[in-house]
Amino acid sequence: MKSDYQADIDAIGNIDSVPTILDVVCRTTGMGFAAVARVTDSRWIACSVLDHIAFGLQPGGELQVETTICHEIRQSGEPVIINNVADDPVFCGHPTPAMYGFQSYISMPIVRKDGSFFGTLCAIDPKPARLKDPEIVGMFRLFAELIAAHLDSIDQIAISEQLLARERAFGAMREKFIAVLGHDLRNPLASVVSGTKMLMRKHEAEPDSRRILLLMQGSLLRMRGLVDNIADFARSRLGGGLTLDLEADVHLERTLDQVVDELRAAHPDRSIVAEFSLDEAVPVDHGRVAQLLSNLIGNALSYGDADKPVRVSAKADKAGFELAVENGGAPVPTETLATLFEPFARGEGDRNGEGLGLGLFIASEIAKAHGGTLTATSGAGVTRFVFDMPAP
Amino acid sequence: MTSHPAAKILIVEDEPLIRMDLADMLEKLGYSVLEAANADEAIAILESEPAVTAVVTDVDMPGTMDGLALTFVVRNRWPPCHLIVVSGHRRPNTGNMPAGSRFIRKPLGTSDLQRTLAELGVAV
Repeated sequence: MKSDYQADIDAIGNIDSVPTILDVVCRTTGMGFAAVARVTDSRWIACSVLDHIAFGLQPGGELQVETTICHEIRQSGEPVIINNVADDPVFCGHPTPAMYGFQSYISMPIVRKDGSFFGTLCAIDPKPARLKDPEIVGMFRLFAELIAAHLDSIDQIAISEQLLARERAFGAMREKFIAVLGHDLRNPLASVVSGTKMLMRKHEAEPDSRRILLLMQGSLLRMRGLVDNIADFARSRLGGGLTLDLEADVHLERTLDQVVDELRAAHPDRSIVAEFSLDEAVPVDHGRVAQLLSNLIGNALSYGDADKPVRVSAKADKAGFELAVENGGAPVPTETLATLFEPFARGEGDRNGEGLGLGLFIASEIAKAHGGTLTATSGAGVTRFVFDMPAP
Repeated sequence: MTSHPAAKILIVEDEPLIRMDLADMLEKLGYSVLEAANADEAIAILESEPAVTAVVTDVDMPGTMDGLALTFVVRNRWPPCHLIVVSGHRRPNTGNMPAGSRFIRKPLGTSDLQRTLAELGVAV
C-alpha cells in the first residue's frame, strides 16, 4: 500500500549510497539498527532501514512521532547522542528508550538547502555504545549532509528536465514555423520575380528601367537564397533529411548555366568565368545542385577579391562529377577552414555583416546527400571549393 | 501563304504574376493563350473551348483538386490534349502523372517551354 509520503520514501530509496551509509553506520558504531526517517510535525516514516536486531520496521513503516526523540530534534534542529541511557542525565528517565528498548541512540537532522527539515539519520542498539567521539559525530553529520545534498540534486534535476522539455517543445515549434514560413515565402517571391521578368521584356530598350529591374532581380535572388537556406536548415533541425530528386539528365549544363547567368546579372561589376565539360550524364538533383552552386558562387563573391574573377568549373566523366568554385584573395586560415561548413560559421572580413552563415553548411549537406564531399582548400592567393561526387 | 489560327494553350496557375509571365512567354512563342486560376476554372474553359492543344498547369492550387489530379481529368476527358506540369517542388513519381506528360521545374524560362512543347510536337 502506498504511503502518502511515497515520493520521499522513493527519493531516499533511489539514492544508491544510502544502504552503504546505513551499513557503515552500523559497522562503525557497532549498533544493530540504522535508518533514514522522514519526520514531520505529525508523522515519523521510515524511508530506508538496516535492521540487525529484528526491530521490525520496514521502509514505509511508521512510528508515533510524539513517542520518538526525532520529534524533539525536529523542534531543536540539534542532534541527540546517547552513549548509555542508564548513565545519561537527560534521558535516563525518558519514556522513549524504555518504550523501544534501546540503550544507545544517535540521531542527526537532515536539513534541506532551503532550511526545511526532512527527517533524521538515526541508529539505535539495545547495548550501550561509544558515540560521543568527534569521529562518530562528524561521520553522522557528513552522511546527513550528503543525503540532504542528494535530495536537493534530485529536485534540481527534475526542475531542469521540465525546463528542458518546455524549451525543446518551443524550439520544435519555432523550427516548424520557420520551415513553413520559408515554404510560404517561395510563391510570393517567385511572383515578384515573374513580374520583373515581364517588365524587363517590356522595357528592354530603356536602360534606366533595365538597371532598376536588374537590381530588383539581384535582391530577389538574394532573398530566394536566404529563404531556401533557412527553410532547409529548419527542416533539417526537425529531423527531415534532404530528399533528392535524381535525374541523369544531359541538361545539367543548362542548370549550371542558369545559376551562373543569374549571379552575373545580379553582380554586373564582377567577373564570373565558367567552364563546363560534362561528357557523361550524371544522376543529380538539379534543384539542389543549383542551390549548392549558387551558395558557393555567392560565398566566393562575398569573400573573394572583387578585382579577381570567380572561376566555376564542372566536369563529368566515367569517374564521377566534379564541380569547383574558385576565388582570388588572401588565404583562409587553417582554423577557419576546419569550421567553414558548420552552421552559422562566418568567414572573416565579411562585407556588411549580412548572411546567416548557412550557405556552406547547406551546400555540404547537399554534397553529402549525393554521396559526395565538399572540401575547401586555400593558399597562394586562391581559395577553392570542390564538390566531388564519385560515380556510383 | 495560308495562315491558320495559333494553337491554343491553357495555363492553370493561381499566382497572378506567375500566370501572366507564363502567358507572356507562350504568346511571344506564337501560341494563343487561355488562363485559369484553378482546376475548376480550367475544366470550365476546356468544356467551352474547342481544340485546346495543351494544358500547362501548376501543382499547388486552391480548389477541388490540385494540378496533378487535373492532368488525369484532362487526359480522361480530352485525350488528345498535351499535358505539362510545372512546379517548384519535386518531380512527381512517374505513376503520379499521366503517360506522355511532361514536367518542368520552376523557375522556368521561355526556352524551357519551347523545348518541352517541341518534344511534345506542339507546333504553333
